[in-house]
Amino acid sequence: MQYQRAALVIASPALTQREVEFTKSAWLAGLRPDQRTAQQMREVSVEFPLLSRDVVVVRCGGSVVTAAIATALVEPTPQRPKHGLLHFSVRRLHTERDSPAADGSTQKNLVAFLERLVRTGGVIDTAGLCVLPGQKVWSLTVDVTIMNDEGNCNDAAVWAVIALLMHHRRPELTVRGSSVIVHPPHEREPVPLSVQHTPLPFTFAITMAPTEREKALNHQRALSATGSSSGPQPSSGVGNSIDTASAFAIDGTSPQPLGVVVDPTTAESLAAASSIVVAINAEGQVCTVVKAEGCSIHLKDLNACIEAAGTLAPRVLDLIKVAMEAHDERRKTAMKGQFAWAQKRSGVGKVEQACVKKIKTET
Amino acid sequence: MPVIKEYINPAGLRLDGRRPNEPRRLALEFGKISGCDGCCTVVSGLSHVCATVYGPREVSNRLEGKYNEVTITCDVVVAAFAGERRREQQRYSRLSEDISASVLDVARSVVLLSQYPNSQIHICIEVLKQDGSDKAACINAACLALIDASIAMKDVVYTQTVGLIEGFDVVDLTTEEIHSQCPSICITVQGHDPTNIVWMESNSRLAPEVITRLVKVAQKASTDVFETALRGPLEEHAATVLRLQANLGNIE
Repeated sequence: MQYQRAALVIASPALTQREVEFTKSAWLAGLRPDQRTAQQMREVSVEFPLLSRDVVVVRCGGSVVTAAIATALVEPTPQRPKHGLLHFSVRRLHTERDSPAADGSTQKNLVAFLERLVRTGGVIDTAGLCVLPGQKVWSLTVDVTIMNDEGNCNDAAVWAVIALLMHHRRPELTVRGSSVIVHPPHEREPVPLSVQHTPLPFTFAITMAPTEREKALNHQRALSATGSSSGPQPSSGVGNSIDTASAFAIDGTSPQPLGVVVDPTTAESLAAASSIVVAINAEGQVCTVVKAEGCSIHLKDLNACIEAAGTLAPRVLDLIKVAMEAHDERRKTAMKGQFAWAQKRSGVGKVEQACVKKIKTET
Repeated sequence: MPVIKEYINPAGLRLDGRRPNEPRRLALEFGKISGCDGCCTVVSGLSHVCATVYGPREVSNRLEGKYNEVTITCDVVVAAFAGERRREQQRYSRLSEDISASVLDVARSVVLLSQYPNSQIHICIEVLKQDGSDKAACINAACLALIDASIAMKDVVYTQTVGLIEGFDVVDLTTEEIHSQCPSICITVQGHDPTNIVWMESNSRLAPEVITRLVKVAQKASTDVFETALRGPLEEHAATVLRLQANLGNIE
């Protein structure tokens, strides 16, 4: 898939308004603008591009998010001397659609969400990052870069962070008294971080307020009733065609408007009345629920979102694990290829032959 | 041997003597601060929050103005003496920004944005004493201050925290109950129809059915709070405002 960036630039508020209107009319017809079903996500791929375990790239349709992690031994804060440090930073590549007034509020919100989910939610056991209480602890710094934004970047960013924390290895230590020896990777195998659980968030867009949805449903029922009421007509040519049309209307099921859609694109985010973020971990527990600004929702909508997220979370987790295994295999292949020259021993053989000749001559 | 605190004793009372489904005592005070368009002081148990509203007024930054809706901004200041431990006096902190984002979410959901195009509504919140959830107290104070400022809103909203401690559904958590790391949600519902969820946040690991149960408990408790603690002061405040307007009419 080739991402054509220039064609998708939203140039002016008028075009944005047209996209929003088209999205809303598509939702009323029970469809989505890009022909997905309500609970269908775009193509998600997780990739570790470098040989080191420090960088991950997550793609969700046209949205691309890159995350990198760095570990360092630092002195802990005086308030919490036995806990490691976790830092998150999010930055966004500048695009022409960004207005000058756009401050970093979206980045700040994403950093706050990551802090709540990873630190407060207990994804990483910060007590396990302590080496010497009060003197040396591990500090993890995660930098998230949003390369391209076509909707649902927050979810992709959190998936990238979770994949990175699962895959990263820190150097092994030897502690004797107050001296700490950091072993490089070729001396000892690095050890993974202790990830307690893996929450994966999913963003849902609420298409319209519940009252408006009920009005739309009643309107469709009224249309169906009007079609059926014209059924009993006298038997004539025109009557036959009317009967056929009304029969078709009765038989055909009119599509219901969509209520909750997953993985909203940029246009769908703008057209949505509200949004819900649900984070589910591998055990099916709900780790975070955030209902943002917009119209009010009902409990059944919330339950529908949680159920859909429970279905989608194992798939994304499987994608992450498959990417980790593929990266490990690629690392092994690269390591083997790194020493392939040693298996060709022609030069060494020649030298040996010369030595053998010398020995024979001497004897 | 770790000492496990007994949050609910065998008689069914909490640490401060409340039943599990009993919220703290709520006291509202309108119009205490002059020079602003709307003001409300909310004392809920031991927590004390003061919110003021300026606006609708002209936008201070022209780039932030929108042609079709109002711009809402929020400043949250947590006093140095608010908590148990004195904290450094800094204008912006992570806690303030987090509370500000939540207050903005609720305000943008409740205010009729299209009524004041090219305008700005500025909300200042000062947390004078912390107890329980700061977000819930600040959201309540901000929404009531918006009512005092006579800004067009969809409904009165109420925010509270609901938790699950030792098998009991506990409403309106205090600081000690929050520190117990119990599963909890913070939820905002509308006054006339508590089934409408305006804002919601949950940071604990919960089973989906527990979330449903906590949401229902929160909605039921909100209905009671509206009837007992919010309706009376709001009606008195409305009567006072109408009486002042009648007096002005007589003078004219």
